[in-house]
Amino acid sequence: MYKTKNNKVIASLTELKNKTGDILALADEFGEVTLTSYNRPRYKVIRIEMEEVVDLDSEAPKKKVKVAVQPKVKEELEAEIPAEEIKKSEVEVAVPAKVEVAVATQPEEKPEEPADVIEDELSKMQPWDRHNEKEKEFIRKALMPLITN
Amino acid sequence: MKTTIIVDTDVITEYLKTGKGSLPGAYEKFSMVISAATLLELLASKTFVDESLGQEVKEFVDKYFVIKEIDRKVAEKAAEIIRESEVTMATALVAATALVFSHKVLTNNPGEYNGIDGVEFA
Repeated sequence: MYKTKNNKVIASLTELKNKTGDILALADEFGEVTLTSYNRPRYKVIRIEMEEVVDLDSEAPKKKVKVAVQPKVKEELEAEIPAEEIKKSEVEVAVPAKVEVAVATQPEEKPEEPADVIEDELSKMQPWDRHNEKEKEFIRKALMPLITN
Repeated sequence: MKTTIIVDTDVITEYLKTGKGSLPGAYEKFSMVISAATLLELLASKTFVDESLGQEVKEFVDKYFVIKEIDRKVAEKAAEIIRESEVTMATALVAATALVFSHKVLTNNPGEYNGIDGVEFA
């Protein structure tokens, strides 16, 4: 996990699997987290206000915790956990300290180029042609006898 | 335990260029190796005159693949393949590595291996 110069938070899918709570806490704090697969941005975790998206049952608890605790990826990305199951204070108090440490300890030697610039450069990659004429000529010559009578 | 396959250069190149192809699926199913010849082909691209890009690719390779060195056994097998099939050196080295280590080959161009006995495809 690291934060780019333009305050974009990047994490890998592997980190999502192993540190789901941290990722979601970062999404809570920074608004969104970009998830990479094989170092390429593929997905985003975006914080939204559930009240704006879903009609909440008036009898249900008003405040829902957006951050899930169990590290199962699909369920965590979709689940809303009622406030009774998770103590909100635990989430609010415990996670920010971990988030600060996680972001602060990002090594400075992370590449400065944003992932999207690297992706753009790689898309223009000119691959080596193993069937180029020089290679074919080399093979033709290699197959000729060393000594001719 | 996952079966090990050897991944040809074109599969990796396709993924680096487009983010798509057979590589992600293969990663889920198999343990993956590449020939040192494939590493050579990847880094031979003039795109990697840019050292930072070259470093990205090296890190990508180190993260997802084991590199099979070209030792005497692989070299001799590759020479035999070239004599018999007249394929290019890189093709021969990938095929030789596959045959010496008994790995199936993941490639976008199986036709390139026509005439090489024993090569199987993932």
